[in-house]
Parts: sequence; structure tokens; C-alpha cells
Amino acid sequence: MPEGTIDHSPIPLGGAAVVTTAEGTPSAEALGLEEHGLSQRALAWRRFRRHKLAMASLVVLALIGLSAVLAPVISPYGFSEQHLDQILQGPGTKHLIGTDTLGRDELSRVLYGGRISLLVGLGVAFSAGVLGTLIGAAAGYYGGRLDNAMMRLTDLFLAIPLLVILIVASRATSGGVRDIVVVLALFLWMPLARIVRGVFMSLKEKEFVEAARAIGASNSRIIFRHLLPNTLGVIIVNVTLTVAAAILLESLLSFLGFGIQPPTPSWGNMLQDGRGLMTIAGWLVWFPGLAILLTILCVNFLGDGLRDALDPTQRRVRA
Amino acid sequence: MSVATEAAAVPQRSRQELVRVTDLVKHFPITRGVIIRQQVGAVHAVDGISFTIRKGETLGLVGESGSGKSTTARLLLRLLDPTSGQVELEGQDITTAAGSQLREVRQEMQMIFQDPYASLDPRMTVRDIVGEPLMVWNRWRNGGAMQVAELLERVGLNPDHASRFPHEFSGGQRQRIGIARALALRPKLIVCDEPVSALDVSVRAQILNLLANLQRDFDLTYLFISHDLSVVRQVADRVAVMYLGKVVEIGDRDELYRRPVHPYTQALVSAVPIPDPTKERKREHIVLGGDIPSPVNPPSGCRFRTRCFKAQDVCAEQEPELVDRGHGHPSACHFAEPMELIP
Amino acid sequence: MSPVTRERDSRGPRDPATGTLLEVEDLTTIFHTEAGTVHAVDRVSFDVRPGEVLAIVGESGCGKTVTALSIMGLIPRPAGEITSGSIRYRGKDMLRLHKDERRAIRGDRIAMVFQDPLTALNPVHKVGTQIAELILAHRDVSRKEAWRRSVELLKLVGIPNAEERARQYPHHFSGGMRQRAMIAMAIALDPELLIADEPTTALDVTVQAQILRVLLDVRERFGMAIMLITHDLGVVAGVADRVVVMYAGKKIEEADVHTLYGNPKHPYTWGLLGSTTRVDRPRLEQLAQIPGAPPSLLSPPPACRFAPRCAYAQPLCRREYPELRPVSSTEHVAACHFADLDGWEPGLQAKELASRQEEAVS
Repeated sequence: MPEGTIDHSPIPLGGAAVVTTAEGTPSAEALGLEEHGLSQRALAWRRFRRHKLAMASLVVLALIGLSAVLAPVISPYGFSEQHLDQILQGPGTKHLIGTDTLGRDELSRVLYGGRISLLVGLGVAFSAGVLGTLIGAAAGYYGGRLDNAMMRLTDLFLAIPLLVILIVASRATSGGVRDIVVVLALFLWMPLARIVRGVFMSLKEKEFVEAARAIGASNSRIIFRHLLPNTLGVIIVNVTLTVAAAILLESLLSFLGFGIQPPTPSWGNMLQDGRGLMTIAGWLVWFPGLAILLTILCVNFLGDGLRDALDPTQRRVRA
Repeated sequence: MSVATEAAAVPQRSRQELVRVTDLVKHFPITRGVIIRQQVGAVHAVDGISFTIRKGETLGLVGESGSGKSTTARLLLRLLDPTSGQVELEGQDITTAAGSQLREVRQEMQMIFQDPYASLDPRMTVRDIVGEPLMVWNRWRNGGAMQVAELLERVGLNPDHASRFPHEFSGGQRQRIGIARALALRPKLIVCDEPVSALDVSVRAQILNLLANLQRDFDLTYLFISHDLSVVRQVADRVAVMYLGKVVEIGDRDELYRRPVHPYTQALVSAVPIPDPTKERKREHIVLGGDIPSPVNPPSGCRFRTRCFKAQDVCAEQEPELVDRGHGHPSACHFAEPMELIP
Repeated sequence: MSPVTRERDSRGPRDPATGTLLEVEDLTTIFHTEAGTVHAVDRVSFDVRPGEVLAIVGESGCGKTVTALSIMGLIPRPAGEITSGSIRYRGKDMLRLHKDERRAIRGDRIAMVFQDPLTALNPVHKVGTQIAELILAHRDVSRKEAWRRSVELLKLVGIPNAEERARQYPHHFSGGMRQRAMIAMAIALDPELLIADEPTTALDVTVQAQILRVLLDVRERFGMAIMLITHDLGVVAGVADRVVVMYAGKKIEEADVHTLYGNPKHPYTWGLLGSTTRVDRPRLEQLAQIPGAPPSLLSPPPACRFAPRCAYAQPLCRREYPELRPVSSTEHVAACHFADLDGWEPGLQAKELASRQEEAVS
């Protein structure tokens, strides 16, 4: 090639120069392992697929979700339908997992209860997610006094003990789903705010943000077009894990009698109902309890998988 | 040599001034306290510098860590607000420009960043990255995608790759993407902040050649910042040397390299190794003692005196001004004397 | 006060008669990654003689750092693996030695200095303590004696107020001083070979000059050999006795320093030298450039790894791997099919072109 020409040939993909980290171990991507032609999302999906437990959890959760959505269709009975001639029956052919003190079918109640619990879980996670992101983003991006104010607010909310929440919940709410979601969201937004703030503060210093400013981008463009998309991974992981926390909290609230009020079943208040009868009618406690356990486990595994897939600091050379 | 200005010593056609910087100062406050913040000191990143850049030329700005060269770049582009001083672009005072006025000015000056891995948003396609300036300034509508394709070709990239993501490209290619982005608005001035420092040696030449060609084709003016004197010798027309927030010498490129007069410049020039074993081993090497002082508390008088081999008492008492001391270009040393350090 | 100047010593190794210190033969190190196997070092052989400065030059990804890590046993397992070859120190193959024997050599007889001083210096221990602990672990001396030696070493590498400094923590040290401290730690046990991996790359150029001086001083004083790993051709020209050039995991040229710079036979070496910016040369209209970028080590080009970028590539180059062959003497080898042809001088035309351009500009 003649001297001084500009290279027009497409460089063979994966032809990146190798850069070693301080420890001397070539990092996976630096070894030219860029996947060809794939977006970040596709790469993340590939990484996620490798996490067997997370994949399995995804399937299980999909099933749980499906059953919750289809509860009216697939449950054999209504959730408050009483069969007074069949109270406290163990699992059998007519009532697959038994009945309670009022002869209500446990299976149907578990299915409908799942609806409530999942609804609450998702609703809280979403609301807390939005709230936490907004506050964290504002604090992280603008800094200064706004940051100070936002962080003190966060500290304030973090300091509120669960007991107070319970009292407030019992007084202020009617036990409806909406009120519970609001109360729980107010209790769960803080960790995400802190995390988002941290990510924004570090991203803010990155050169591509400086570059955006240099070309004249406005603050809102920088926040929504540059910073948020790069924070999405962290937010998704956190929101997922918040779902688990929310379901658990809702169960706790309902168990203690502050949450969802009967006759609407929730896994939590079903536990409360069955608590006293555990020795003679264990199925009243095992099945809702199992449902909670399974759901939360799966959500946590899913969160782990998402973190592995989306968290950029986790890229490492695997054997 | 007569007391001539730099322009006269340089065989250039007379050019108008594009940028003028006067007594520019930037102090970063150091605060303590949580509720009530008190300033306890300041980092004197840039402490009163003045220079001009003529249209079409490349001014090289060299210095080591703590010299303030990167801060200067950002002050020029108004990515930072100066503590005091003046910045003029094409005669217009932009020191205190803000809001929409500032954003207007931004179209005239752009920047190429050092780190090709961090200066591109990993979640945007190349087309979006290079096209963003056009988006921001509503120039995308009439054939934005075509403009992007053209820019990519100009910088030596295949326009078909526009829908790819930064991580699919090598360091040198990413830098080309950054250059394409800087060109999108057809600015007059481009500040290049260590554009090749993070690249492999065999790729550097490509990028430097590209920058030279683009300068010619687009009639660009460059402020080229680098700690690598060998690179600056290749690209600059004039060179300014910075130390601890001040300019210590500024002049025509070849003059400065062949016969530097400020002891710091001399130390710098002699410290850069020459890739020729015979020359390199025969040379005189000035090895400075000590470390670079902290910019929080710069030495009194001449800042370089703590490491200078010529330091006398007067150096601690009186800060030398940046003036021509009879050598054809300004220097800031009481004992400035030319020395030849390149065989 | 006149400037402190020094003419670099161009004497050869101190004692050429005692045979080689380190013999690396056919070393191959690979990494298992998500995307496949990376051949970071591919059948590389070279040796280091007592007292000499051997430079290993190449760009990022050429395998020079991985070579050093292989010698020092710092390749992370199971991701990394040395699959073949031998690393003989004074005749003993370290890859096949017992653990204890290996430890006696690495760290004691062979020491390493890294690019980032914070890698070797523990931030929670005082600097003096770290050096003293190292001495105590390998030598039978009292604590007091170890401390005394530690302070002396710091003085040796040019740290002012060594007594005080020894009681400080690494973060109190500037970059240059940390590097000096790391060198002090490396020479604490009087090693015969010091491997320096990009020791000055992260430093300012005036500090780089200081550190190189320290290394040369130390080498003269203790007679140790230095294996210097760098991408900076200027640094190599100033301090090396012999040079090994690596590209894409392979050794592609080796010669003594004057021969390599004066008469390179591999097109890559020539291209690298030609495209480097220099302070001693007026501006060129266009720098000589090597097109493209270094190849991926996952799937390197089939035969000659440089062929895709080489101006002289022929079909032969893409078919058959050019083994290293002696050029003017056995001391000068190059991995190019044309290297031993009479009158072969890569870039002859280009050199003329460059000098013509020089004349035009100056």
C-alpha cells in the first residue's frame, strides 16, 4: 500500500488490540472477543442464557405468572365460595390441596392469592423503581445542594423502622391493593436511589458525557439519552430484587393483619388464617408458604442472572 | 535576533487570529464540611496564561501531569468556567457566555478525546454517535444519514458499519469515530486532547496523518494537547510549554525543539528518548531532581525553581514573566539561555 | 549549578563468558475464554545473558507481558495455561521443578517490576515494612537488620529522606517515588534478573528519565540482567543491549540494538521504526504508516501473522509460516521469507521517500 493512505479496508472484526489489566490478565473483551454485530442487549441475553438457574427460574416464574393471570379461568372454585359441608378437608380429589375452616378451596385461594401477591410485588417494584430512579438521577446529576437534600431525604426514609410502617399501614389504609402498594413503595425506593445516584455520579465524569456536552446537548438529553440507558442494567436488577422484597413484605403485612384484608386472599393472610391450625390442617400453611418461597427464590435467582448478564463489571475470563 | 513577534520568525502567510486567551485562571476550590462547606484551599490548575491561535494553524500544548493543559482545553471549550481571565473566539468574548448563547458557540469548536474506549456512548450505534451533533442542532432532517456516511468515509471507515456499536471496533477505529463526530458540525476549531496517547504505536501514524489531511481539507485550526513531545513535533506549527498552570515558553516549533531556552523545556526535550541508539546514547541528558510540586501550593516566585538546575535566590522572590528575552520567542525564566539537546 | 548530565553507557553485558541466565524455549501460553482459545504466546524462544539489558518490544496484544508473567508464574489458572516449552534458569527448567525450588528462584533470583506500582505495594502496610518483610522471608537476618537494609535500598534508588519515607504508606508517595520503591523491593534480595514490565509507561517523561537512570545504576551496581518490556522504541534505543520484537504472540525479529535500528529485516520492525514520531526530526508531510491493526489472537492469520498488513506480502506469506531465520549473523534473526535475501531492506523505497520529504520540508 502506498505511503500515507488512509486505510479503507474493514478491519477483521474482533481485531481489537489486546490490553492487559493491571493484574496482567487479559480481560475477555480486550482479547478481541467482541461478539460480531451484536448489540449490548443481544450480548446480555447470551450471557444470561448461560446462567442455568436463572433460566429455570424464568420459566417457573412465567408459569406462576401465567397461573395468576388465568386464575379466574383455571381455578376450580371461587376464592370465597364456601362449602360448609367440606370444611378442613385434606388434599383430595375434589379439592386438590384441601379446604379451610369455611370450606373454601385452597387451590383456588392460592391461585387468586398469587394474583394479589404478584400484583403487589410488581406494582411496588415499579413504583419504587420510578421513584428511586428519579431521586437518584437528580441527586447524582445535579449534585450540590439538590444532592444534599435528596440524600438527607433518603436517609430519613431509611431510618423509618418497619414497625412504624405497619402502624401507618394499618391506620391509613383500607387494606386494598392500591394502598398497600403505595405504603410499600415508600419503604423500598431508597436503595435504588442510592445506587442510581452512584452510577450517575460516576458516569457523569466519563468522556462520552463530556463529549455530549461539547456538542451542545442539553441536560435532559444527556440524562435521558446517555445516562439512563447506561444505568438501565443496574435498575433492572434492582427492580427485580425489589419484587421479591415486596412480595415478602406484603406477606408479612398481611400475616400480621395489616395488609390485604379478607375475604380477598393473599398468601400472607392465608398464612395467618392457617397458623393456629397448623397441627391439624397443615396444608393451610404449607401451600401458601411454599408458593411464597418458590416465587421469592425464583425472583432472586432471576435477579442474579440479570446481574451477571447486565453488570458490566462482571466481565471476566472464564475457564 | 530582534525583539520580533513569533509571527515574524515563522515563514507563514499572515493569518488572522481565531482564538485569544488572556490571563486565564482556573482554581478548583477544596472544601471541607458536610452541612456548611468551607473553602480551605484551591488547586491552581491554570494560573494566568495567555496565548493566541491563528486560523489554520496547529498550536501544540505540552506539559506533564499537573501542568494544566487538559484544564486549559476545557476552559477554551467552556466545558469549565474560568475563575478569571478572558477567552475570545473570532474576536467575540465568550468567557461568560451561557445558556443558548454558549450552545451556539459550541458549534464552532469541538473536541477529540483521549480515551477511545470511554469517549463513545457504548449503547449508541456509530450512526447515532456521529449524527448526534446534527440531531442536537436540527440539521438531521436534510439527509442526516447521508452526512454521517460521508463523514465516516472521510475518516477512513466503512459507512456500512454505521449500525454497529463501539465495542465492535478497535481503538484506532473508535478514535476515527470520535473524529467524525467532531467534524459533524464543521467547526472552526478542534481541540485534540491527547488523541493518540491511548493508541498503539502502529496506529498512531494513521490517526496523525488523518488529522493532518482533515485540517487541510476542512480548513481546521487545532489546539493539540499532548505530553509526548515527539508527537507534537510532528503535528504543531507553534508550541506552548506548560508547567504547573503556567506557560513557560512558547514559540515556533523547530526553534523550540532545536534551541529551547527555558530550563524546563530543555529538560523535557532532553528526556524524550530518540529511537536511534547511537544518537540517544551520545546525547546530553538533563535529569531533573525531585517531583512535580502539588498545584495546591505552588512554589513562590518561579514555580519550576524546586527542580531547576539554574535556580538562584531571585527565582524564589520574583516570578519571571513570559516575555521575549532576546531569543525570538517568549520565555519565563530569569536565566533563559538556548541549549541544543537534539543531535 | 550545571545540569546533571550523563552519557549513557554503551558497553555490553558484563560477563559474556558465563553462559545464559535464562533460556526460554518454545514457550506457548494460552487462555481459555468464552469465545475460544487465545494463543497469547506462541512458541517463543529467547535467552537472557548475565548482566545484559534485553528489551522485548511490541504493541499491546503481542504477548510480551504474558511472556513475563509466564516466567514469573503469574498466569492465572485455570483460565491460563502454559501448554508447552521450557523456561530454564541456569539450566533448571522452572516449569518442571518442585514448588519449593521454584519459589526459591522466583522472587529471589528473578524479580519483577510492574507498570502499576500499586500492584506490588500493599496500601495498608508501610513501605519500609514491606521490603523488610520480604527480606525476612528469604534471608536469615534480624528484624533490625532487615529494616536497616530496607532503608538503605530506598536510599539506593534515590528516595530522599529514606528513613522517614520508609515509615510512610504508599499513597504518600508520588508516582515516580512509588516506582522507585517497587524497584527497591525488587532488588532487595539481590536478584540476578530483573523483569521490568512497562516500568515507565505510566510516568511523566521527566520522571521516566529518572527511573531509567535508577534501573541502569542498579544494574551496574549489582551486575544484574534486566529484561525490559516496553512498546517505546526510544526507551529501548537508550538502554537495551539486545532487542526481541514480538507481534501477535510470536517473536518476529531479534538482534543487538544497533543492528535492529540500523538494519531491520522484518517489515513490521521497519514499519514500526518508520511510523514512530521523533523529536529529532522536522515535520513530515505524512508519516509512514502501517495500515490496519494488530490481529485477534483468537483466530490469527494462517501463516505469516503480519501478512494482512504487509506491503510486501506474497501468496507464499499466506501459505507458509516464515520461521525465524538468521540474517547477517546468528545473532540477528527475523521471521520473514525474504529476510535472508541479498539486498533485502524493507522499505528501501519508502526510506528514500521519507528522506526526500524531509529535505522538502526542512
